[in-house]
This record gives sequence, structure tokens and C-alpha cells, in this order.
Amino acid sequence: MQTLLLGIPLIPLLAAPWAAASRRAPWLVALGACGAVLLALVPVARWAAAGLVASAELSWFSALGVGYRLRADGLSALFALLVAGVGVLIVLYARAYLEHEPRAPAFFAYLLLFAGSMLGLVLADDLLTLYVFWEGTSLASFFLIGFHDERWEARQASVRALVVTVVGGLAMLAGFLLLGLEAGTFRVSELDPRTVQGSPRYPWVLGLVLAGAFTKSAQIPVHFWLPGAMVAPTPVSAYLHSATMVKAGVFLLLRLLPVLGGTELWRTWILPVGLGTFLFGAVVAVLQDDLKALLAYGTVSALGLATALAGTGTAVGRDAAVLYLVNHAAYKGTLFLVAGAVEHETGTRQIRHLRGLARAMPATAALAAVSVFSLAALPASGGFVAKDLAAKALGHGLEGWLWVGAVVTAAFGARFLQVFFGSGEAEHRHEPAGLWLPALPLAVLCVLFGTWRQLPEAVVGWLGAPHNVWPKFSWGKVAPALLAAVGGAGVAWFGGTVSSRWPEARWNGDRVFDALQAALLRFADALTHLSLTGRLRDYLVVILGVAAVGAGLPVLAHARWPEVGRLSFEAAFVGIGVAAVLVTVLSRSLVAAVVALGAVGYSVVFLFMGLRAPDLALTQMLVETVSLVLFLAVVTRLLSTDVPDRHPLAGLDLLVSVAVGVVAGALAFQLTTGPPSQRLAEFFARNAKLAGGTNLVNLVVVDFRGLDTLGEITVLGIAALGVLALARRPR
Amino acid sequence: MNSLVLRTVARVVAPVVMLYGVRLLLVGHDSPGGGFVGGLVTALAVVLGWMAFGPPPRARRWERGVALGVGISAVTGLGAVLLGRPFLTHALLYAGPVKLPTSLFFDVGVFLVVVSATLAAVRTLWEAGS
Repeated sequence: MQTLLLGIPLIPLLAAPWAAASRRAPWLVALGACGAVLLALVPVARWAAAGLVASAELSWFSALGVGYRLRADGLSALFALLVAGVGVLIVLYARAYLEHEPRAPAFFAYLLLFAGSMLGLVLADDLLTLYVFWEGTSLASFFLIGFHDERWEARQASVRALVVTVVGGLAMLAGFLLLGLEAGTFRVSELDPRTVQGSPRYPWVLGLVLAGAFTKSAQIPVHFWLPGAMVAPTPVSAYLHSATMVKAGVFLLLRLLPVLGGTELWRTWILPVGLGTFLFGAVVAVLQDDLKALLAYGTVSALGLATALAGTGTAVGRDAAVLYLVNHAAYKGTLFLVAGAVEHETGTRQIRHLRGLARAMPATAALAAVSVFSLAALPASGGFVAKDLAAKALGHGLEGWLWVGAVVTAAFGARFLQVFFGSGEAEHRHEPAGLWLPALPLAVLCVLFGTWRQLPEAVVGWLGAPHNVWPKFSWGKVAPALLAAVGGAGVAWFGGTVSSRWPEARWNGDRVFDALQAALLRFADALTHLSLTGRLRDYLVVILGVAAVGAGLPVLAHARWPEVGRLSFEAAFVGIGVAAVLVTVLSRSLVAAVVALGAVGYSVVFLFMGLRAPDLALTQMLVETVSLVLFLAVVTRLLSTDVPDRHPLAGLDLLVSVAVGVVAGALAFQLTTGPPSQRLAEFFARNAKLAGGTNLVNLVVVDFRGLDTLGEITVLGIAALGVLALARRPR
Repeated sequence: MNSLVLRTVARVVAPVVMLYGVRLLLVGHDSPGGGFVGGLVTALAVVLGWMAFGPPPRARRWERGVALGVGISAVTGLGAVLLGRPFLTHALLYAGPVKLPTSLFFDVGVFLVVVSATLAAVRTLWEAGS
């Protein structure tokens, strides 16, 4: 029964190609997949609610102790339900949103790719499995941000998001490897906190893992990819970039909290980043004029708070973070869907161009109002319950941040609501049910979390020991919330006037990224121009020169030089060879040079025969012959037979040639005159019987070292394919 | 290269050379020779034919020969795997009085790759040159 768990991430992943191929109703495939996951999660959720843990594994790299391991404890089950549940609503919404989009099948396929990866991420019980799915979500996000790939901003934003999250992901992988090696296991549920925290490498592990978490969850200063990701179709912004994927970083912190958390380092590294992001995001959100940009900075702010809550390192902090994230998914998801509906109907997202939409889009306006209530943490909303627990988790020292943040958060909420009020031209707008009905369940959740006590308590109960999270209603709590909201509305009015006059930032994350990227490309360009001259001779000089220096130094260091007296009959052939070399180099005719080069080769044939190596002699002779034929019959016709563009005796060429010759000669001499390896010769002679042959050379080639030969003929074959491909290139 | 002398000589010599190439392949186990050398000789015989009578009208699909050769060599190694021995372990078989080591089949693959690759290179450059 538990092994079914392994299939949960696979359902959307396998449905993705199906959706891509489905022309008529790709959304139906996506809906079916998300629905199936939701159904499969029912027993898992019931186990989790009962405090039980389902786990299953498939062996993968058993030698390294790495496996496809999934484990559904309360935290995992909760996030999995969030992914699947919001997924269903998003698919329904996207169906209406992408009504006339010809590439809808690809869109739903990417969406399923994401859903499957995200499910794998939250359910993973193996660090490397988690990493693989983690990068899977980054990839899916890349494709979805760049969905409108005909637009430069979309492509650039997708590249920024991918590079930032993948660089963070790689750092995280390094952290995982260190962590796994320190703890002796890659199984998350078996990591021992005492071993890990006692290790001198603990700060490295923590820092690297945080790099992954912070980039994914858009903490300052690498938050910039998230607002940029708003070029994606709105269902993507609602799903990946507010409700689920960006929470993966916080999820990772919560997942590893029992292992890495609870230390002073944990608090001092995470809390400042989280709180800083919380306030920064909220303030910048107020200044936005674009509905989605406003929501994106709001998300940055919310992720900052959740990170800070995880950074407290306490159980209350964990509960508060999860409760807050679930509530955030509900209200921010609704707001994104509302923003999408507004853009879909009016064609713009600029707040200054939108007024009085409440009359034309009453249901949408109502949904927006409800979710902004929760966003501003007004009483009887889920946001109130979550923020109350957050205040408890942060404690008296840091509570003040929360109240400042609440005012600013209320302010950008009020800015968002502006578009529905006032009198404006809203004649022909209407609201299709497909664009607000899917948001309804999320808005209902916003209310339920604030009015139905069992719901937040159940969520917290899944994570560990249930405790009282329901806030006591006292004017002492409600009044500041109301005050914050009123103050926020005031700030919103101020922000609205300021935002239109706010100067474009000269240096923001996007620009720094783009400048770095441009510098990298320029560097690559310069390097390419330097190294690729388009002249074969230059390449040869480099290749041979490097070989001569690299191989030459060790060879020459150990070289023994021949005693002239030992040269016997070979001297004659050496003389012929040297003469042929001189003719080759000095000849003014290409044909003569080629023939002379052949003579050099044939003189070597005789040397081999003198060494009683008939196989070598035979092979050498044939190779020389084939080369000669190729040259004379073919190559000379390709080249002009004039003197080459550079005289062969030009300084550098001569130097390189002589160096290569000396090194090759020294190497050959050393190999042939040194003490031969008797061990090898004896081995081959002894075992030749087994192979049943008497030609040792051939036996070595086809039998003893057959794998080498297989590799060699493969290389030869690939070279031949290269020749063919070059020749067939259209000219 | 249209020469009566070359054509007359090639008519006799090319088939002999080709047979010699195949012989080199077959006897490689016990005397100088083998798939590589045999392949070169055979390819040279074909090139001699091209020189005398002109090359085939268009480039054949030499990549198939290459793929077939690499495939044969690789497959001969799989037999041992099926019997639970390491990849490319060879056995010495006898077909009646004739010695038939499985490494010969491996060598046939080498032979095919060398012939195909050489002819592909010559034919391609030939075309480019004319």
C-alpha cells in the first residue's frame, strides 16, 4: 500500500507528454492528473492526520546509499495537498485564461512537469532525490516564465530566474553532499542532528543549503527574479510564483530544521535575511503600479516573513511558518487570479488606468476584498490567525517588525483594491465564470481559516504536538490590526502618488544580472576570437606545441640518449628518412613534398622489419599507402599547389616541429631501449594458448584488449561520420 | 584518370588485392594480419578500382557500414555476458577441423569499420576535389 506513494509524483510527470500531444482538451488531461494525485493523497493525508508516516523506496544508486525514497509525514502531506489542490483550481482557471492560446498543450504539459517535480520535492526523503526534483521545478518554471518566447523580456526573465535558482540549487547540492557525508546517510529522516551540528563543516553545510533556499524563495538580494517572473501567464504566477514553488525554499528550511536548526548560527543567518526581505518586499510593493508586480513584491515580503519564522528555529516558529504559508497560498493565489481576470478583461494591469471595476466585475471584486482582508490580517480572516501565531513565534523582541510590516502590507492590499472603487469607464467589461469560480474555494479558505477553529488547529496538529493556536479575541489584538489597516490605507494613498513619480532605479538586481551576463558573453567572445583563427596551421601549432611542452618535459627529464656506436644497419634507413624529411620541408612543390613524406613513412617500415615486427611493418606500410593515395588522388586537387601562405621554415613553425620531433624521438627511444616489461610479455605468451592463436599482436588487439579496440573503431567510425557530415554540409 | 594501362592492370590486380585483404583478416590469428590491416588492403583495392573505372555515381551510405561494424564487434562481446562472463570474453570454437575463435567475428567488425571509414573518407574528398 505504501509503495503507491512512489507513484504520486509520477502521475503528473507521465501525464505531461499526454497533455502535450492532446490537441482538443489538454486541460482535461491536466485536470485528471491533478485530480488523481488528490485522490491518491487521501489515504496519505488520513495517515498523516493520525500521526502516522507513509514511506516507500526504490533502490537507485545502492552503492552510494542513494534511492528514490519518498516519505509522507504531516509537513510533506500538507504541502503535497497544497500542490495538488491549488493545481486543480489553476488548471480550471487556465482553461478559461488560455482559451484562444494555440500553444495551450505545451503550457499544460509544463504545468504538469512542475506539479510532478514539486510533489516529488515535498515528499522526498532522500537528499539527492529532493535535489533532482528541486531542479525539475526550476526547469518547469524556466519554460513557463518564458512561455511567450517571442518576447525578449520573457526570455530574459526566464533566463534570470533559471540562473539564479540553479546556481543556488548547485550550492545546495554541494551542501547536501557535505551533509550526507558528515551524517553518513542521504536519508533525510535518518540525519542525526548531533553528528551534523557537532561537525566542523556544519557552517559550510548550513551556508550552502541556505544559498539554495534563499534563491528559491527569493530572499534579498536575489529576490529580483521573482518580480521578473511576472511576465509568465497569470495562472503560472498564481501557482508557481506565489502558491507553491517559491515556498520550496522555506519548505527546505522546515524540512531540515530538526537537523540543522536550533543553533545560534541558524538564527543569526536566517532571521535578518527573512525580516529584511519581509519589510523590503512590502515597501517596494506599495510603490508598484503594475498589479502583478505589486503582488510579486508582496510575495517576496511574505516569503521573507516565512523564512524569518523558520529562522526562529522553534516548534512554534515552524507551525507559524506553515500556517502562514498555507494562508498565503489561499489569499495570494486568489489575488493573482483576480489580477489575471482584470487583465484578461481590460487588457491592462496598470493601477492608474483602472477604476471602478466593482460594478462590472462584482464577483471578482468580492473575492479580492475577502483576500485583501486576510492579507491585511483583519480579524476573522486566516491572515489574522496566522499573524497572531507569528507574533507569538517571533517573541517580544521582534514583534515590532511584524506591526510595521502589517501597516505596509495593508497598504499594498489597499492599493490593489483601488482598481475596484471610484467611478471609471467600465462599460463593456464582464466577468466569465471560468475566471472567478476557480478562485472561490481559495477565498472561502481565507474565511474558514479565520472562523473555523478546527482548521488551523488541524494544520498545526499534522506537524507535531497540537497546541492552542486560536487567538483570544481581545481589543488589545484587534485594535492594532484595525489601526494597521487604516494606516495602511493612508500609506496606500501616499504610495499611489509617489509611485507615479518614483524614478526608475539605476541599479537593481535585473541590471546587475544583465551586466554580469553581458560581461561573460563578451569574455567568451574575446576568447573565441583569440583561439579560433580559422587557420588549420594555427590550430596545429597550438595542439602540437602543447603536446611537445606537456609531454616533452617529463620525457626529456628521464631521457637516455643513444650511443652512436650502437647504431647498426638501421643507420642506412635513418639516413633515407632524414633525407626524405629534408626534401619534404624544402620542396617547393606540394606533390613532391607529399611523395617525400611517404618516403619518410616507408623508411620507418624498414626499421620495423629490422626490429622483427612484421605486423607493425605491414600496418605502417598500408597506412602510408592509403595516406599517399588520399593525398595524390584527392587532396592535391583541393589545394592550390603554390607555396603555402607561410614558409615552412618560419620561426614558430620550425620551433614547434623540431620540438615535437625531439620529444617523439626521445619518447620512442626511451620506450624501445628501456628494460622491457617482462611481466607483460610473459603474461601474453603464457595465455596465448587460451586464445588459440600464435600471432600475439593480433591476439592483444582482438582478445586481450578487445575493449580498447572496440573504443578505437568507435572513434574511427565517428571520425568517418564527421567527414561525411562535413562533406554533405550545404555549400 | 583515364588510362588503358591502369584499367587493364586494375582488372586483374584489384580482385586479387581484395582477396588478399580478406585473407589477411582470416589468418590474423596466427600470422601477420588482422581486421585493421585487411580492411586497409581491401579498401585500397576498391580505390584502385575507382581510379581505373571512375568512382560510383554518388556517395553510398558508408555510415551504415560503420554502424554495422561497430555493432558486430559489440555484439560479439555480448555473448559472453549472456553466459555470465565479462563483456568481450572470447571463446575458441572449432567447426570441424577449422579453428573458429569468436574473436574472429570481432575482427570482422573491425574490418567493416576500417573499410567503410576509409572509403567514406576517400569518396567524400574525391567528390570535393573534382
